Amino acid sequence: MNKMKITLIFTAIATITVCLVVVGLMFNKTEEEKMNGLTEIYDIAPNGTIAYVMYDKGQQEIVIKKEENDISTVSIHEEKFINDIAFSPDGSTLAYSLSQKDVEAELLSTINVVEVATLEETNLFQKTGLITELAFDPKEGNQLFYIKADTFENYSPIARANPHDFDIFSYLISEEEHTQYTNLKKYSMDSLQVSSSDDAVYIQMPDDEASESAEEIFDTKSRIFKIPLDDPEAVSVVSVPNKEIDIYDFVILSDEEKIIYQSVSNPNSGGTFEYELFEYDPNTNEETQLTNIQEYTSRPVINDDFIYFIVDKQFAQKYSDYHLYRMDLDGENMTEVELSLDE
Amino acid sequence: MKSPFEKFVLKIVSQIDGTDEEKADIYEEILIHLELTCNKFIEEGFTKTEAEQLAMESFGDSTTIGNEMQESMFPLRKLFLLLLSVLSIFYSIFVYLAQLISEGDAEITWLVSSITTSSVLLLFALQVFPSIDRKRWINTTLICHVFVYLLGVLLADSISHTISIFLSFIAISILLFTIFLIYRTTIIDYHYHSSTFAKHVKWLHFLNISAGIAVTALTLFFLWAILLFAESIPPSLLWIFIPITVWLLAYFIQFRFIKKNKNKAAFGLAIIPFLILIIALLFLIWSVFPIGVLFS
Repeated sequence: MNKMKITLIFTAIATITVCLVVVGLMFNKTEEEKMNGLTEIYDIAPNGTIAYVMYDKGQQEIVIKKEENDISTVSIHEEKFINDIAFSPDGSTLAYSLSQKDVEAELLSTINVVEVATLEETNLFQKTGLITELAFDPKEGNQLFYIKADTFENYSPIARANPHDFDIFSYLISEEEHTQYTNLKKYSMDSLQVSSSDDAVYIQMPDDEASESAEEIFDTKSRIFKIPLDDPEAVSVVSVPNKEIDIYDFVILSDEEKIIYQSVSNPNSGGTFEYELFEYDPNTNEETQLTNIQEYTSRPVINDDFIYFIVDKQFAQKYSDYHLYRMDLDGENMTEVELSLDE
Repeated sequence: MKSPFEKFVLKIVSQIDGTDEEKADIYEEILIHLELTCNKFIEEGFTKTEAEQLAMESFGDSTTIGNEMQESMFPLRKLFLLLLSVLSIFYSIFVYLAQLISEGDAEITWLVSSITTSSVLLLFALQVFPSIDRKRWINTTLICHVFVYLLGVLLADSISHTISIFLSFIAISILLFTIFLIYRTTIIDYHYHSSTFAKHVKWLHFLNISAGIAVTALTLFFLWAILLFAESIPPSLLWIFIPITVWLLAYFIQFRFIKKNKNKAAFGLAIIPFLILIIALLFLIWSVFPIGVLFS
């Protein structure tokens, strides 16, 4: 092959490469631009108003949907991140917890409330630490419970940084008074729920009180605990005793006779775990699988005799694709809830 | 001062990737042939300068002859390198565009790396720079190509479209073909000065390349497992690079031994990377299946 042909070939390769690089620079999307649609964070007021957090090109916003065409949006600062939202018992206000997107730069949480009717926002308080979940006391809308992590770090050199050292607190809005109930400094805590009848809260956390060695801690399972507020050390397990599979998100029916929770349905299959919703009756000790979606089903919420929940249709993939569903209390008549995700 | 014949023959020989002895033989044979032809032309009445020129012209173009001799000594090398480079260039463009369209990711660093290694392989295939030590440079480029295509497999796999399966298959094929060419370039496409020495060297290369692939795969697996949970490699876990370092050192020392005819020592040392692999595999098996489970 003569030199002219060789020069032409390599010039063509170089030209094509430069063109591809230019096209790439023009159409490359940032990680934020790729984040769109619903997140796992939502709540439903007793009157049926749905509030949910969604991404619009990487920017979070709270959408409040009262009716089909009555939708309003609460925007937040682009450097902030919404950790959780919670309706007051009468549905008139929505509390939300904000932190910095770069949590490690400043571990500070801000709790705001927004009037659902007027969208007027008020700052309730700021606290050092990461407030990951909020729940109003259903018996009294004046008291907001929260779980707070005191650190955001990696406990092991081969682990990513995560919030740790969790405890349960409450804030009495009228008195502007904080109360700390536990001093557990737990590795993790999720799914805070306040009892509608007792002076107690329910929480999901690792059952590691009796664990001493690293192996024992590694083998502990997450369970649902009831913590009486007047005697927080009298912690008791309310989920299936000695269940050898972790329990994650949960909701307790208002009569406290049944628990709906998320767990793995195929722990021994060897494939990708499938997360489904289960129902547990503490009186009969019976456990029933409610969903069989074979994806990632999470965040059960009870409202108006329906169980609402989130399904991630792209579980274990690069980006999640969350959808809100609802079904009857017995797991029948499952339908997707239409949300306005373009607002 | 070299004669025109010597310059002409040197140009031919410089394009051949044989041993020094082979090159010396060819050099001598062509030189004698040219001198005989030159003498014939002088007998026919041409001047010495004219006869030399005619002898070289009748022998043919030095670049073409050098190329043909290289191909006859190392059949298929050019074809394989051409196939690998062209396939890699087309794959690079296709997977880059698929990533950009499907995921919105412009993998510019990977594209440039892949086009660079593929183009260098194309340069070798077209014998654009015949005078450089090709075995060493081809293998260096092929090893770089292996690492580029390990990432190429991951890129193809991460595309959220059914075309991902096809692209992954092509990337794995390119990867395996590149590894095959590393074996071929090292063991087949190279000539040695004595058959006994060649046999030992080929065996040592075969053992070391195989161990190298396994040790690298194991190291990359641990690296992947660490980076799955951690954001960077903590200094306390830098020990995972010890097996690769030991393998490289053992490879180097073996060839010091073989050059001094210490064959037993060389082959004894070649076993070390395999022992590391066996220990690592036992460790993995023990981690997954505790000893009690294996014997229960």
